Amino acid sequence: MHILSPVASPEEVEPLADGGADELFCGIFPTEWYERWGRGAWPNRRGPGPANVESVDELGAIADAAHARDRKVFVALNQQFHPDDQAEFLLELARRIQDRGAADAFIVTDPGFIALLKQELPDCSIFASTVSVALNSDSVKFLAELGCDRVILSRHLALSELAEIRAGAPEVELEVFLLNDNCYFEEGFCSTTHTMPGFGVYCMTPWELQITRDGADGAIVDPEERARWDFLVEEHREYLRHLAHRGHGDSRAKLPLGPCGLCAIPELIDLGIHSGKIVGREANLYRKIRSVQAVRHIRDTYLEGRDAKATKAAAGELRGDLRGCASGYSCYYREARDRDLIPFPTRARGPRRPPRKQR
Amino acid sequence: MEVMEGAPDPEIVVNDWGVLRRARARGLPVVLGRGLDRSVRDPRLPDVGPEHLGGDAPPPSWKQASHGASAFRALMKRFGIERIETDVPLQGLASPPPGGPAMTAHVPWGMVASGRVCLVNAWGKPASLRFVAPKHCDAPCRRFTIELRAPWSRREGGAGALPMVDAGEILPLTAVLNRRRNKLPAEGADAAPRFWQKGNTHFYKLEGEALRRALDWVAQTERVDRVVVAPELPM
Repeated sequence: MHILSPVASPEEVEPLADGGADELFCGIFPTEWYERWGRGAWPNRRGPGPANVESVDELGAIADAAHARDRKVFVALNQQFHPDDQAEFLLELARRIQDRGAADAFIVTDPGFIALLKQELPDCSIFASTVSVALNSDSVKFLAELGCDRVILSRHLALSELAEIRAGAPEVELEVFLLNDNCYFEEGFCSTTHTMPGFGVYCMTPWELQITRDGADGAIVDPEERARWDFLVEEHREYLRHLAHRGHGDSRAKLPLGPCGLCAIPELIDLGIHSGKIVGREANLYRKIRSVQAVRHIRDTYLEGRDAKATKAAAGELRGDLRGCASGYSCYYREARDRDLIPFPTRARGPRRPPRKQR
Repeated sequence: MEVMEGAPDPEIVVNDWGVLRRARARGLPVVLGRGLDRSVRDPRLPDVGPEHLGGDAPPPSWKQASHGASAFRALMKRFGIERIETDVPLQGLASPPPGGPAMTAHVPWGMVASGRVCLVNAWGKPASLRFVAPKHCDAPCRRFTIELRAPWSRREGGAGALPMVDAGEILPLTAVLNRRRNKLPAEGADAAPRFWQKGNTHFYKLEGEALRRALDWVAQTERVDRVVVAPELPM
Protein backbone atom coordinates (compact mmCIF):
# COMPACT_ATOMS: atom_id res chain seq x y z
CA MET A 1 0.00 0.00 0.00
CA HIS A 2 1.42 3.35 -1.06
CA ILE A 3 1.46 6.30 1.29
CA LEU A 4 -0.13 9.34 -0.30
CA SER A 5 0.86 12.61 1.29
CA PRO A 6 -0.37 16.14 0.76
CA VAL A 7 2.16 18.65 -0.53
CA ALA A 8 1.88 22.38 -0.98
CA SER A 9 5.25 23.61 -2.26
CA PRO A 10 8.36 22.33 -4.03
CA GLU A 11 10.35 22.66 -0.80
CA GLU A 12 8.10 20.13 0.93
CA VAL A 13 8.78 17.35 -1.56
CA GLU A 14 12.19 16.23 -0.31
CA PRO A 15 11.35 15.95 3.40
CA LEU A 16 8.06 14.21 2.66
CA ALA A 17 9.68 11.76 0.27
CA ASP A 18 12.46 11.10 2.76
CA GLY A 19 9.84 10.66 5.47
CA GLY A 20 8.19 7.86 3.51
CA ALA A 21 5.65 9.36 1.12
CA ASP A 22 5.32 7.22 -2.00
CA GLU A 23 2.93 9.57 -3.76
CA LEU A 24 2.00 13.23 -3.40
CA PHE A 25 -1.13 15.22 -4.09
CA CYS A 26 -1.83 18.91 -4.14
CA GLY A 27 -4.31 21.43 -5.45
CA ILE A 28 -4.06 24.38 -7.77
CA PHE A 29 -5.89 27.71 -7.46
CA PRO A 30 -4.55 29.76 -10.35
CA THR A 31 -4.38 33.51 -10.04
CA GLU A 32 -6.39 33.77 -13.27
CA TRP A 33 -9.19 31.78 -11.66
CA TYR A 34 -9.27 34.12 -8.70
CA GLU A 35 -9.33 37.18 -10.96
CA ARG A 36 -12.28 35.72 -12.87
CA TRP A 37 -14.48 34.23 -10.19
CA GLY A 38 -13.20 35.67 -6.91
CA ARG A 39 -12.93 33.76 -3.67
CA GLY A 40 -16.49 32.46 -3.75
CA ALA A 41 -15.83 29.72 -6.30
CA TRP A 42 -13.08 27.16 -5.98
CA PRO A 43 -11.57 24.86 -8.61
CA ASN A 44 -11.16 22.14 -5.99
CA ARG A 45 -12.24 21.44 -2.42
CA ARG A 46 -9.88 23.97 -0.83
CA GLY A 47 -9.77 27.71 -1.17
CA PRO A 48 -6.96 30.06 -2.01
CA GLY A 49 -4.12 29.86 0.47
CA PRO A 50 -1.69 27.26 1.74
CA ALA A 51 -3.70 24.29 0.44
CA ASN A 52 -3.14 25.25 -3.18
CA VAL A 53 -0.33 26.30 -5.47
CA GLU A 54 -1.04 29.31 -7.63
CA SER A 55 0.52 28.48 -10.98
CA VAL A 56 1.37 25.67 -13.36
CA ASP A 57 5.04 26.62 -12.97
CA GLU A 58 4.89 26.05 -9.21
CA LEU A 59 3.09 22.77 -9.75
CA GLY A 60 5.71 21.84 -12.31
CA ALA A 61 8.46 22.54 -9.80
CA ILE A 62 6.75 20.16 -7.35
CA ALA A 63 6.50 17.52 -10.06
CA ASP A 64 10.15 17.96 -11.04
CA ALA A 65 11.26 17.53 -7.44
CA ALA A 66 8.99 14.52 -7.02
CA HIS A 67 10.02 12.85 -10.25
CA ALA A 68 13.67 13.29 -9.30
CA ARG A 69 12.87 11.10 -6.29
CA ASP A 70 10.76 8.67 -8.29
CA ARG A 71 7.51 9.91 -6.78
CA LYS A 72 4.29 10.82 -8.57
CA VAL A 73 2.19 13.94 -8.10
CA PHE A 74 -1.57 14.18 -8.45
CA VAL A 75 -3.46 17.45 -8.67
CA ALA A 76 -7.01 18.04 -7.45
CA LEU A 77 -9.62 19.66 -9.70
CA ASN A 78 -12.39 18.09 -7.69
CA GLN A 79 -15.11 20.64 -7.15
CA GLN A 80 -18.61 19.14 -7.04
CA PHE A 81 -19.56 20.32 -10.52
CA HIS A 82 -18.17 22.62 -13.16
CA PRO A 83 -20.39 25.01 -15.11
CA ASP A 84 -19.39 25.47 -18.75
CA ASP A 85 -17.12 28.48 -18.28
CA GLN A 86 -15.24 26.84 -15.41
CA ALA A 87 -15.01 23.50 -17.24
CA GLU A 88 -13.52 25.30 -20.23
CA PHE A 89 -10.99 27.03 -17.99
CA LEU A 90 -10.06 23.78 -16.23
CA LEU A 91 -9.73 21.87 -19.48
CA GLU A 92 -7.25 24.44 -20.73
CA LEU A 93 -5.48 24.34 -17.37
CA ALA A 94 -5.28 20.55 -17.54
CA ARG A 95 -3.82 20.80 -21.03
CA ARG A 96 -1.12 23.16 -19.78
CA ILE A 97 -0.39 20.91 -16.82
CA GLN A 98 -0.07 17.89 -19.04
CA ASP A 99 2.13 19.71 -21.58
CA ARG A 100 4.40 20.82 -18.76
CA GLY A 101 4.45 17.36 -17.20
CA ALA A 102 3.37 19.03 -13.97
CA ALA A 103 1.14 16.21 -12.71
CA ASP A 104 0.82 12.47 -13.15
CA ALA A 105 -2.94 12.37 -12.60
CA PHE A 106 -5.92 14.65 -12.16
CA ILE A 107 -8.26 14.11 -9.23
CA VAL A 108 -11.75 14.92 -10.51
CA THR A 109 -15.31 14.68 -9.15
CA ASP A 110 -17.77 15.74 -11.84
CA PRO A 111 -18.44 12.70 -14.06
CA GLY A 112 -19.33 14.99 -16.95
CA PHE A 113 -15.95 16.67 -16.64
CA ILE A 114 -14.22 13.28 -16.26
CA ALA A 115 -15.70 12.20 -19.59
CA LEU A 116 -14.79 15.53 -21.20
CA LEU A 117 -11.23 15.38 -19.88
CA LYS A 118 -10.76 11.83 -21.14
CA GLN A 119 -12.15 12.80 -24.52
CA GLU A 120 -9.93 15.86 -24.92
CA LEU A 121 -6.80 14.51 -23.23
CA PRO A 122 -7.00 10.76 -23.80
CA ASP A 123 -3.49 10.15 -22.48
CA CYS A 124 -4.09 11.76 -19.10
CA SER A 125 -4.61 9.72 -15.98
CA ILE A 126 -7.72 10.52 -13.95
CA PHE A 127 -8.55 9.57 -10.38
CA ALA A 128 -12.16 9.78 -9.24
CA SER A 129 -12.30 11.97 -6.15
CA THR A 130 -13.99 10.79 -2.98
CA VAL A 131 -16.53 13.52 -3.75
CA SER A 132 -17.74 11.33 -6.63
CA VAL A 133 -19.22 9.07 -3.92
CA ALA A 134 -18.24 5.52 -4.73
CA LEU A 135 -19.99 3.41 -2.12
CA ASN A 136 -20.11 0.10 -3.98
CA SER A 137 -18.30 -1.88 -6.65
CA ASP A 138 -20.75 -0.86 -9.37
CA SER A 139 -20.00 2.81 -8.70
CA VAL A 140 -16.30 2.02 -8.92
CA LYS A 141 -16.84 0.24 -12.23
CA PHE A 142 -18.96 3.11 -13.54
CA LEU A 143 -16.18 5.60 -12.80
CA ALA A 144 -13.55 3.25 -14.24
CA GLU A 145 -15.60 2.90 -17.42
CA LEU A 146 -15.62 6.69 -17.71
CA GLY A 147 -11.84 6.57 -17.77
CA CYS A 148 -10.70 6.70 -14.16
CA ASP A 149 -7.59 4.71 -13.32
CA ARG A 150 -8.15 4.99 -9.59
CA VAL A 151 -11.17 5.56 -7.41
CA ILE A 152 -10.84 7.31 -4.07
CA LEU A 153 -13.45 5.70 -1.89
CA SER A 154 -15.81 7.31 0.57
CA ARG A 155 -14.57 8.13 4.06
CA HIS A 156 -17.42 6.26 5.70
CA LEU A 157 -17.01 2.76 4.33
CA ALA A 158 -16.51 -0.15 6.70
CA LEU A 159 -13.74 -2.66 6.16
CA SER A 160 -16.33 -5.28 5.18
CA GLU A 161 -17.65 -2.92 2.51
CA LEU A 162 -14.14 -2.25 1.26
CA ALA A 163 -13.67 -6.01 0.93
CA GLU A 164 -16.85 -6.28 -1.15
CA ILE A 165 -15.72 -3.44 -3.40
CA ARG A 166 -12.27 -4.94 -3.79
CA ALA A 167 -13.78 -8.29 -4.76
CA GLY A 168 -16.32 -6.69 -7.10
CA ALA A 169 -13.88 -4.44 -8.95
CA PRO A 170 -10.47 -6.11 -8.69
CA GLU A 171 -9.06 -4.36 -11.75
CA VAL A 172 -9.41 -0.80 -10.41
CA GLU A 173 -6.89 0.90 -8.12
CA LEU A 174 -8.53 1.85 -4.83
CA GLU A 175 -7.48 4.62 -2.50
CA VAL A 176 -8.74 5.07 1.04
CA PHE A 177 -8.41 7.62 3.81
CA LEU A 178 -5.92 6.97 6.57
CA LEU A 179 -5.25 10.02 8.63
CA ASN A 180 -6.24 13.49 9.71
CA ASP A 181 -9.55 14.61 8.36
CA ASN A 182 -13.10 13.39 8.06
CA CYS A 183 -16.45 14.78 7.04
CA TYR A 184 -19.66 14.55 8.99
CA PHE A 185 -21.70 14.17 5.81
CA GLU A 186 -20.86 12.14 2.75
CA GLU A 187 -18.74 14.74 1.00
CA GLY A 188 -20.33 14.26 -2.39
CA PHE A 189 -23.80 14.64 -0.93
CA CYS A 190 -22.93 17.83 0.92
CA SER A 191 -24.12 20.85 -1.02
CA THR A 192 -22.72 23.42 1.37
CA THR A 193 -19.78 25.61 0.63
CA HIS A 194 -16.65 26.18 2.64
CA THR A 195 -15.96 29.29 0.64
CA MET A 196 -17.36 31.88 2.98
CA PRO A 197 -14.73 33.46 5.19
CA GLY A 198 -15.99 33.96 8.69
CA PHE A 199 -18.84 31.51 8.49
CA GLY A 200 -17.00 28.36 9.37
CA VAL A 201 -17.94 24.90 8.23
CA TYR A 202 -21.66 24.16 8.00
CA CYS A 203 -21.56 20.76 9.70
CA MET A 204 -19.61 22.20 12.64
CA THR A 205 -22.25 24.83 13.34
CA PRO A 206 -23.13 24.79 17.03
CA TRP A 207 -26.74 24.01 16.29
CA GLU A 208 -29.54 24.41 18.71
CA LEU A 209 -31.58 21.25 18.39
CA GLN A 210 -35.20 20.56 19.04
CA ILE A 211 -36.25 16.96 18.71
CA THR A 212 -39.92 16.22 18.41
CA ARG A 213 -42.04 13.18 17.78
CA ASP A 214 -43.85 13.27 14.48
CA GLY A 215 -47.61 13.48 14.43
CA ALA A 216 -49.82 14.54 17.28
CA ASP A 217 -47.34 13.63 20.02
CA GLY A 218 -45.07 16.62 19.36
CA ALA A 219 -42.68 17.58 22.09
CA ILE A 220 -40.92 14.89 24.10
CA VAL A 221 -42.20 15.40 27.62
CA ASP A 222 -41.20 12.20 29.37
CA PRO A 223 -38.18 13.23 31.54
CA GLU A 224 -36.48 9.85 31.11
CA GLU A 225 -36.72 10.07 27.34
CA ARG A 226 -35.66 13.71 27.35
CA ALA A 227 -32.61 12.76 29.37
CA ARG A 228 -31.71 10.08 26.86
CA TRP A 229 -31.99 12.51 23.96
CA ASP A 230 -29.97 15.11 25.87
CA PHE A 231 -27.27 12.52 26.39
CA LEU A 232 -27.30 11.56 22.72
CA VAL A 233 -27.03 15.20 21.65
CA GLU A 234 -24.04 15.66 23.98
CA GLU A 235 -22.43 12.55 22.55
CA HIS A 236 -23.10 13.89 19.06
CA ARG A 237 -21.25 17.07 19.99
CA GLU A 238 -18.40 14.93 21.27
CA TYR A 239 -18.35 13.07 17.96
CA LEU A 240 -18.16 16.37 16.06
CA ARG A 241 -15.32 17.44 18.38
CA HIS A 242 -13.43 14.31 17.38
CA LEU A 243 -14.00 15.13 13.72
CA ALA A 244 -12.59 18.59 14.42
CA HIS A 245 -9.35 17.15 15.80
CA ARG A 246 -10.51 17.65 19.37
CA GLY A 247 -9.60 21.30 19.26
CA HIS A 248 -6.65 20.66 16.94
CA GLY A 249 -4.63 18.94 19.63
CA ASP A 250 -1.59 16.73 19.20
CA SER A 251 -0.71 13.45 20.83
CA ARG A 252 2.42 12.94 22.91
CA ALA A 253 4.15 11.84 19.72
CA LYS A 254 3.06 15.12 18.15
CA LEU A 255 0.62 13.34 15.89
CA PRO A 256 -2.52 15.28 15.12
CA LEU A 257 -5.44 13.88 17.09
CA GLY A 258 -7.76 13.92 14.12
CA PRO A 259 -9.52 10.98 12.49
CA CYS A 260 -7.26 7.98 12.20
CA GLY A 261 -7.07 4.61 10.48
CA LEU A 262 -3.64 3.48 11.68
CA CYS A 263 -4.79 0.27 13.29
CA ALA A 264 -6.68 -0.74 10.11
CA ILE A 265 -3.48 -0.78 8.07
CA PRO A 266 -3.04 -4.59 8.30
CA GLU A 267 -6.54 -5.19 6.95
CA LEU A 268 -6.11 -2.55 4.23
CA ILE A 269 -2.85 -4.13 3.09
CA ASP A 270 -4.44 -7.59 3.08
CA LEU A 271 -7.34 -6.24 1.02
CA GLY A 272 -4.97 -5.00 -1.65
CA ILE A 273 -5.81 -1.32 -1.24
CA HIS A 274 -3.45 0.53 -3.53
CA SER A 275 -3.00 3.76 -1.65
CA GLY A 276 -3.66 5.22 1.79
CA LYS A 277 -4.29 8.92 1.92
CA ILE A 278 -3.11 11.43 4.50
CA VAL A 279 -5.33 14.48 4.40
CA GLY A 280 -4.33 18.08 5.01
CA ARG A 281 -2.87 19.99 2.09
CA GLU A 282 -3.19 23.14 4.15
CA ALA A 283 -1.32 21.75 7.16
CA ASN A 284 2.17 22.81 8.07
CA LEU A 285 5.11 20.70 6.95
CA TYR A 286 5.81 19.35 10.43
CA ARG A 287 2.34 17.89 10.72
CA LYS A 288 2.58 16.38 7.27
CA ILE A 289 5.93 14.77 8.03
CA ARG A 290 4.79 13.37 11.38
CA SER A 291 1.73 11.90 9.69
CA VAL A 292 3.77 10.30 6.91
CA GLN A 293 6.26 8.89 9.42
CA ALA A 294 3.47 7.43 11.50
CA VAL A 295 1.82 5.67 8.58
CA ARG A 296 5.15 4.40 7.28
CA HIS A 297 6.11 3.05 10.69
CA ILE A 298 2.88 1.08 11.03
CA ARG A 299 2.82 -0.11 7.43
CA ASP A 300 6.42 -1.27 7.59
CA THR A 301 5.83 -2.93 10.95
CA TYR A 302 3.20 -5.12 9.31
CA LEU A 303 5.13 -5.69 6.10
CA GLU A 304 8.19 -6.73 8.06
CA GLY A 305 6.28 -9.70 9.37
CA ARG A 306 4.70 -8.71 12.67
CA ASP A 307 1.13 -9.94 12.95
CA ALA A 308 -1.95 -7.74 12.86
CA LYS A 309 -2.35 -7.65 16.65
CA ALA A 310 1.23 -6.56 17.19
CA THR A 311 0.85 -3.96 14.45
CA LYS A 312 -2.31 -2.59 16.03
CA ALA A 313 -0.54 -2.46 19.37
CA ALA A 314 2.24 -0.47 17.73
CA ALA A 315 -0.37 1.86 16.21
CA GLY A 316 -1.99 2.43 19.58
CA GLU A 317 1.36 3.03 21.24
CA LEU A 318 2.37 5.48 18.53
CA ARG A 319 -0.85 7.44 18.74
CA GLY A 320 -0.57 7.43 22.50
CA ASP A 321 -4.24 8.10 23.04
CA LEU A 322 -5.91 4.79 23.79
CA ARG A 323 -8.56 6.43 25.94
CA GLY A 324 -9.37 8.63 22.97
CA CYS A 325 -9.58 5.48 20.86
CA ALA A 326 -12.11 3.95 23.26
CA SER A 327 -15.20 5.65 21.85
CA GLY A 328 -14.18 4.98 18.27
CA TYR A 329 -15.34 8.47 17.30
CA SER A 330 -11.93 9.22 15.75
CA CYS A 331 -11.80 6.01 13.74
CA TYR A 332 -12.14 5.77 10.01
CA TYR A 333 -12.52 2.00 10.40
CA ARG A 334 -13.98 1.41 13.82
CA GLU A 335 -14.18 -2.35 13.50
CA ALA A 336 -10.40 -2.54 13.07
CA ARG A 337 -9.84 -1.75 16.75
CA ASP A 338 -8.57 -4.64 18.78
CA ARG A 339 -10.70 -4.69 21.91
CA ASP A 340 -7.94 -6.36 23.91
CA LEU A 341 -5.74 -3.34 23.36
CA ILE A 342 -8.18 -0.55 24.07
CA PRO A 343 -9.30 0.19 27.61
CA PHE A 344 -12.97 0.69 28.16
CA PRO A 345 -13.94 3.87 29.96
CA THR A 346 -13.66 3.43 33.70
CA ARG A 347 -17.08 4.97 34.16
CA ALA A 348 -19.89 3.88 31.92
CA ARG A 349 -21.34 6.89 30.14
CA GLY A 350 -25.04 7.15 29.79
CA PRO A 351 -27.98 9.49 30.24
CA ARG A 352 -28.25 11.15 33.63
CA ARG A 353 -31.31 10.34 35.65
CA PRO A 354 -33.65 13.30 35.68
CA PRO A 355 -34.11 15.13 39.00
CA ARG A 356 -36.46 13.34 41.39
CA LYS A 357 -39.14 16.00 41.15
CA GLN A 358 -39.37 15.39 37.40
CA ARG A 359 -39.64 11.61 37.59
CA MET B 1 -35.14 -3.86 -10.09
CA GLU B 2 -36.70 -7.24 -10.82
CA VAL B 3 -40.04 -5.79 -9.75
CA MET B 4 -39.50 -2.73 -11.88
CA GLU B 5 -38.80 -4.84 -14.95
CA GLY B 6 -42.37 -6.07 -14.86
CA ALA B 7 -43.91 -2.71 -14.07
CA PRO B 8 -45.71 -0.67 -16.72
CA ASP B 9 -43.82 2.48 -17.74
CA PRO B 10 -41.25 2.30 -14.91
CA GLU B 11 -38.89 5.06 -13.82
CA ILE B 12 -36.01 4.47 -11.42
CA VAL B 13 -34.74 7.53 -9.61
CA VAL B 14 -31.06 6.94 -8.84
CA ASN B 15 -28.77 8.81 -6.53
CA ASP B 16 -25.85 6.45 -6.89
CA TRP B 17 -23.71 5.83 -9.96
CA GLY B 18 -23.59 2.12 -9.20
CA VAL B 19 -27.37 1.84 -9.20
CA LEU B 20 -27.40 3.71 -12.50
CA ARG B 21 -24.98 1.16 -13.94
CA ARG B 22 -27.11 -1.75 -12.76
CA ALA B 23 -30.36 -0.23 -14.03
CA ARG B 24 -28.83 0.41 -17.42
CA ALA B 25 -27.57 -3.15 -17.60
CA ARG B 26 -31.20 -4.25 -17.24
CA GLY B 27 -32.42 -1.69 -19.75
CA LEU B 28 -34.53 0.16 -17.18
CA PRO B 29 -35.24 3.86 -17.70
CA VAL B 30 -33.41 6.00 -15.21
CA VAL B 31 -34.06 9.43 -13.72
CA LEU B 32 -31.11 11.15 -12.08
CA GLY B 33 -32.06 12.07 -8.54
CA ARG B 34 -31.42 15.40 -6.91
CA GLY B 35 -28.43 13.97 -5.04
CA LEU B 36 -26.61 13.71 -8.36
CA ASP B 37 -27.69 17.13 -9.63
CA ARG B 38 -24.96 18.98 -7.84
CA SER B 39 -25.45 22.62 -6.92
CA VAL B 40 -24.62 24.85 -4.00
CA ARG B 41 -27.53 24.47 -1.61
CA ASP B 42 -25.94 25.98 1.44
CA PRO B 43 -28.84 27.56 3.33
CA ARG B 44 -26.56 30.34 4.57
CA LEU B 45 -26.02 31.75 1.08
CA PRO B 46 -29.01 34.12 0.99
CA ASP B 47 -27.30 36.01 3.79
CA VAL B 48 -23.93 36.26 2.10
CA GLY B 49 -22.84 39.45 0.44
CA PRO B 50 -19.63 40.88 -0.94
CA GLU B 51 -18.62 41.94 2.58
CA HIS B 52 -18.26 38.26 3.46
CA LEU B 53 -16.16 37.61 0.38
CA GLY B 54 -13.62 40.35 0.82
CA GLY B 55 -15.48 42.56 -1.64
CA ASP B 56 -15.78 39.90 -4.35
CA ALA B 57 -19.16 39.40 -5.96
CA PRO B 58 -20.85 36.05 -5.33
CA PRO B 59 -19.89 33.85 -8.29
CA PRO B 60 -22.49 32.85 -10.91
CA SER B 61 -21.87 29.16 -10.05
CA TRP B 62 -23.84 29.66 -6.83
CA LYS B 63 -26.93 29.79 -9.04
CA GLN B 64 -25.94 27.03 -11.42
CA ALA B 65 -26.17 23.25 -11.24
CA SER B 66 -24.97 20.11 -12.97
CA HIS B 67 -28.09 19.99 -15.13
CA GLY B 68 -27.01 23.13 -16.97
CA ALA B 69 -23.45 22.03 -17.73
CA SER B 70 -22.79 20.87 -21.30
CA ALA B 71 -20.41 18.10 -20.26
CA PHE B 72 -22.91 16.73 -17.76
CA ARG B 73 -25.71 16.87 -20.32
CA ALA B 74 -23.51 15.00 -22.79
CA LEU B 75 -22.90 12.34 -20.14
CA MET B 76 -26.63 11.99 -19.55
CA LYS B 77 -27.24 11.67 -23.27
CA ARG B 78 -24.51 9.04 -23.52
CA PHE B 79 -26.28 6.98 -20.88
CA GLY B 80 -29.73 7.54 -22.30
CA ILE B 81 -30.98 9.52 -19.29
CA GLU B 82 -33.78 11.85 -20.24
CA ARG B 83 -34.84 13.31 -16.91
CA ILE B 84 -33.12 14.85 -13.91
CA GLU B 85 -34.52 15.98 -10.59
CA THR B 86 -33.44 19.19 -8.99
CA ASP B 87 -33.75 21.32 -5.88
CA VAL B 88 -34.16 25.07 -6.10
CA PRO B 89 -31.72 26.60 -3.63
CA LEU B 90 -32.73 29.39 -1.29
CA GLN B 91 -30.57 31.85 -3.24
CA GLY B 92 -32.38 30.87 -6.47
CA LEU B 93 -31.32 29.27 -9.72
CA ALA B 94 -30.40 30.83 -13.03
CA SER B 95 -32.29 29.58 -16.06
CA PRO B 96 -30.36 26.67 -17.58
CA PRO B 97 -29.29 26.90 -21.22
CA PRO B 98 -31.94 25.77 -23.72
CA GLY B 99 -32.32 22.10 -24.50
CA GLY B 100 -31.13 19.42 -22.17
CA PRO B 101 -33.06 16.81 -20.25
CA ALA B 102 -36.58 17.06 -18.91
CA MET B 103 -36.58 18.25 -15.32
CA THR B 104 -38.45 17.60 -12.12
CA ALA B 105 -38.37 20.25 -9.39
CA HIS B 106 -38.81 19.44 -5.71
CA VAL B 107 -40.61 21.90 -3.44
CA PRO B 108 -40.67 23.06 -0.74
CA TRP B 109 -37.97 20.92 0.88
CA GLY B 110 -34.44 21.04 -0.47
CA MET B 111 -31.60 18.77 0.48
CA VAL B 112 -28.66 20.52 2.13
CA ALA B 113 -26.48 17.52 2.89
CA SER B 114 -26.71 13.86 3.62
CA GLY B 115 -24.42 11.16 4.88
CA ARG B 116 -24.23 7.78 6.49
CA VAL B 117 -23.79 9.03 10.05
CA CYS B 118 -27.16 9.43 11.69
CA LEU B 119 -28.02 11.04 15.00
CA VAL B 120 -31.42 9.39 15.30
CA ASN B 121 -30.10 5.97 14.38
CA ALA B 122 -27.64 6.25 17.27
CA TRP B 123 -30.52 6.24 19.76
CA GLY B 124 -30.11 3.53 22.36
CA LYS B 125 -26.91 2.14 20.87
CA PRO B 126 -23.60 1.59 22.63
CA ALA B 127 -20.75 3.97 21.81
CA SER B 128 -19.15 1.53 19.39
CA LEU B 129 -22.26 1.62 17.18
CA ARG B 130 -23.07 5.31 17.47
CA PHE B 131 -22.39 7.72 14.61
CA VAL B 132 -21.15 5.11 12.23
CA ALA B 133 -22.73 3.83 9.03
CA PRO B 134 -25.25 1.27 10.28
CA LYS B 135 -25.31 -2.25 8.87
CA HIS B 136 -29.03 -1.90 8.49
CA CYS B 137 -31.53 0.78 9.40
CA ASP B 138 -35.04 0.33 10.73
CA ALA B 139 -35.71 4.01 10.05
CA PRO B 140 -36.37 5.42 13.52
CA CYS B 141 -36.46 8.80 11.77
CA ARG B 142 -40.01 7.94 10.72
CA ARG B 143 -40.98 8.98 14.24
CA PHE B 144 -38.70 11.93 14.96
CA THR B 145 -37.92 15.28 13.38
CA ILE B 146 -35.05 17.49 14.44
CA GLU B 147 -35.28 21.21 14.04
CA LEU B 148 -31.98 23.06 13.80
CA ARG B 149 -31.37 26.70 14.43
CA ALA B 150 -28.22 28.71 14.03
CA PRO B 151 -28.36 31.33 16.76
CA TRP B 152 -25.41 33.26 15.36
CA SER B 153 -27.37 34.25 12.29
CA ARG B 154 -29.95 37.00 12.29
CA ARG B 155 -31.60 37.02 8.93
CA GLU B 156 -33.90 39.96 9.43
CA GLY B 157 -30.92 42.28 9.66
CA GLY B 158 -29.70 41.36 6.21
CA ALA B 159 -26.28 40.09 5.34
CA GLY B 160 -24.54 42.82 7.30
CA ALA B 161 -26.10 41.52 10.51
CA LEU B 162 -24.33 38.20 10.27
CA PRO B 163 -21.49 38.11 12.74
CA MET B 164 -18.08 37.37 11.34
CA VAL B 165 -16.56 34.58 13.36
CA ASP B 166 -13.11 35.79 12.33
CA ALA B 167 -13.89 39.18 13.81
CA GLY B 168 -13.99 37.57 17.21
CA GLU B 169 -17.61 38.35 17.94
CA ILE B 170 -18.77 36.17 20.78
CA LEU B 171 -22.34 35.60 21.81
CA PRO B 172 -22.95 36.40 25.46
CA LEU B 173 -23.25 33.22 27.51
CA THR B 174 -26.69 34.18 28.70
CA ALA B 175 -27.90 34.37 25.11
CA VAL B 176 -26.87 30.77 24.65
CA LEU B 177 -28.18 29.53 27.96
CA ASN B 178 -31.52 31.22 27.44
CA ARG B 179 -31.97 29.22 24.28
CA ARG B 180 -31.43 25.88 25.88
CA ARG B 181 -32.15 23.07 23.48
CA ASN B 182 -35.69 21.81 23.39
CA LYS B 183 -36.87 25.20 24.58
CA LEU B 184 -36.39 27.15 21.40
CA PRO B 185 -38.49 30.26 20.87
CA ALA B 186 -41.73 29.63 19.03
CA GLU B 187 -41.89 29.86 15.27
CA GLY B 188 -42.17 33.46 14.21
CA ALA B 189 -40.67 34.74 17.46
CA ASP B 190 -37.14 33.93 16.40
CA ALA B 191 -35.22 35.37 13.49
CA ALA B 192 -32.60 32.62 13.43
CA PRO B 193 -32.71 30.55 10.25
CA ARG B 194 -34.46 27.23 10.75
CA PHE B 195 -33.41 24.00 9.11
CA TRP B 196 -34.57 20.45 9.57
CA GLN B 197 -33.01 17.08 9.92
CA LYS B 198 -34.74 13.86 9.05
CA GLY B 199 -32.55 10.89 9.78
CA ASN B 200 -29.17 11.58 8.25
CA THR B 201 -30.22 14.43 5.96
CA HIS B 202 -30.46 18.17 6.50
CA PHE B 203 -33.15 20.09 4.64
CA TYR B 204 -34.07 23.71 4.08
CA LYS B 205 -37.62 24.80 3.35
CA LEU B 206 -38.67 27.17 0.61
CA GLU B 207 -41.06 29.62 2.22
CA GLY B 208 -42.42 33.07 1.45
CA GLU B 209 -40.37 34.97 -1.10
CA ALA B 210 -37.99 32.04 -1.69
CA LEU B 211 -40.93 29.78 -2.55
CA ARG B 212 -42.45 32.37 -4.88
CA ARG B 213 -39.08 32.79 -6.60
CA ALA B 214 -38.73 29.02 -6.96
CA LEU B 215 -42.18 28.69 -8.48
CA ASP B 216 -41.41 31.55 -10.89
CA TRP B 217 -38.28 29.68 -11.90
CA VAL B 218 -40.32 26.53 -12.46
CA ALA B 219 -42.83 28.43 -14.59
CA GLN B 220 -40.13 30.08 -16.68
CA THR B 221 -37.97 27.04 -17.21
CA GLU B 222 -39.24 25.26 -20.25
CA ARG B 223 -37.70 21.89 -19.41
CA VAL B 224 -39.37 21.62 -16.00
CA ASP B 225 -42.53 19.66 -16.68
CA ARG B 226 -43.00 18.01 -13.32
CA VAL B 227 -43.07 19.30 -9.75
CA VAL B 228 -42.87 17.07 -6.71
CA VAL B 229 -44.60 18.69 -3.75
CA ALA B 230 -43.82 17.10 -0.41
CA PRO B 231 -46.15 18.36 2.31
CA GLU B 232 -44.00 16.70 4.96
CA LEU B 233 -40.26 16.32 5.30
CA PRO B 234 -39.14 13.69 2.80
CA MET B 235 -37.56 10.48 4.00
